[in-house]
Amino acid sequence: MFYFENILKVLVIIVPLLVSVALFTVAERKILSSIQRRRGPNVIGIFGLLQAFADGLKLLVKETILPSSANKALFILAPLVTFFLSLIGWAVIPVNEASVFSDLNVGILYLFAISSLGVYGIIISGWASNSKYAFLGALRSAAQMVSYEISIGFIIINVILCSGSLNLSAVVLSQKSIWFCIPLLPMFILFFVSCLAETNRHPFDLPEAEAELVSGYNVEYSAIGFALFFLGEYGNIILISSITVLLFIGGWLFPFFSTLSGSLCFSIKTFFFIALFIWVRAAFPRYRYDQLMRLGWKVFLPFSISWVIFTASILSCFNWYILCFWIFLILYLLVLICFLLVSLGFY
Amino acid sequence: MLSFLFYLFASTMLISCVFVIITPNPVFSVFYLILGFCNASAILLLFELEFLGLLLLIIYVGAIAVLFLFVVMMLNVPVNRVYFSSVHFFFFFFFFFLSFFLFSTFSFEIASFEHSFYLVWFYSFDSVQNVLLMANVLYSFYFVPFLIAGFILLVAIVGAILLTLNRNLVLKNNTFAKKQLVYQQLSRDSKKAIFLFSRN
Repeated sequence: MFYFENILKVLVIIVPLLVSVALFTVAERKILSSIQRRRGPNVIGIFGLLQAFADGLKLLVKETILPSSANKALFILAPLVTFFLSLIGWAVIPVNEASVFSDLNVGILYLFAISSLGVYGIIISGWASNSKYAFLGALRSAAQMVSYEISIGFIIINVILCSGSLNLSAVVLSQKSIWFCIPLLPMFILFFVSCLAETNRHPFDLPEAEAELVSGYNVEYSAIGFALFFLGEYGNIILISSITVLLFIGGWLFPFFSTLSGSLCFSIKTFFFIALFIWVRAAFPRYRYDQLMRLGWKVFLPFSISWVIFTASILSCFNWYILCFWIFLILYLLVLICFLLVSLGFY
Repeated sequence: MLSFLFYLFASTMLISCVFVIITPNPVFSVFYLILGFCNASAILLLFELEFLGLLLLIIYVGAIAVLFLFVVMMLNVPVNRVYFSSVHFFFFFFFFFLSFFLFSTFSFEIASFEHSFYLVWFYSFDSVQNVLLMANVLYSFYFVPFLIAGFILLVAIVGAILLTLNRNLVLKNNTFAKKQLVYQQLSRDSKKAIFLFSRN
């Protein structure tokens, strides 16, 4: 009975997730096309809603090609790893109060560990397919993910300091008086940009630079392997936008409409971030690789480390009462002005 | 169940550690190392040390092993065609069976310990969280070793920077520098970049 119940719970999480990933791809194409003033997919299903399922079916029935010089075992393992890691993160995501698969007391650390393991799917695929394009794409992608993970870690430490817990439900409940995106606004922006880099999305989609590297680490993959990579990537985007919602936008909490269902609030907020991901893809040009690395190591990392120290000192001075929010506001306006002056001095 | 999982993870860890040494391809040996780390963190999770287990996963698997893998993949290390004689395999299997033998003897000891201890009620009431407990001990009793460890890390960081520092001075006409200056690149235009040489 115990196992049966758990398997049912897992299915209740995974099946809607996969459906939402499928619909996410359609939504991306529709939003992109509306930004670029064209129609987008509109043939299969009403408004082209079934386009993703048609694509999935096409990928399923295509032939799986194993390159003769590839390392077979690792070549097959890599997409499985990516897909698996994008799914198991959902075990600790609370969509509503007390509706979570496993309420770990180190939930944030778990998510961080899962996202840091995500590099392996990419690096293994790049090495195992024994092709220069795939290998270079994988190296780029892995370097990018590793360097932005560090700044993400420091940003998360800010949130942990403010909430005093590693449990995701506790983090959300500690945002009852104010969402962390307000006192930690710069960190929130940094977190969103780092998430763009972490999921290899535009404007940081260097691994997938079509002009130079064909398609990055998954050039050699076809059919179901490619589909798994695709599903894993888009699942990761949904996961990371829901993490943003949980850490900064107050999860299932909504300030004025308290009668609104918690999971509905959560999904609305998550959808807002997913739409933001798509908008960024349409609106921003791609970074150069050295600019990307410079941004990660020389701007985001020092800024987030200094903000950790700032937050810790504020918290220990004022012991986090409600006035603290105003002090935060004034102080970080001052800090921003200083940064602006310093950067103006540099250029 | 718990002891079965423990033996599973521990034996997998030992076997993967052996494979780190005996595989001819260095990339594979890094993969086996990662497998070993993952099993170690699984064992820590079994002992309900979630914080340490996840930290091991984040730091060693997520950061250090990735860098190892990078170096090994990029350096194009030649694959050692080591011929494994039967003597090697004999040693390997001897080690393998020895480890299992040790496990089985240990398991008796653990089982006997479990029965000999009585329940300490204080612990079952005082259920402090993992992280909090560690922080309490670390910042009260062991703060001097903690500070020393931090200082050693600082020294390591400074050493790493010193080793990789570009010692060429940046001259004014930018001849010796191998450093990229973005604003110089961006401020170049065709009038400055194209010029004629003349003899006088």
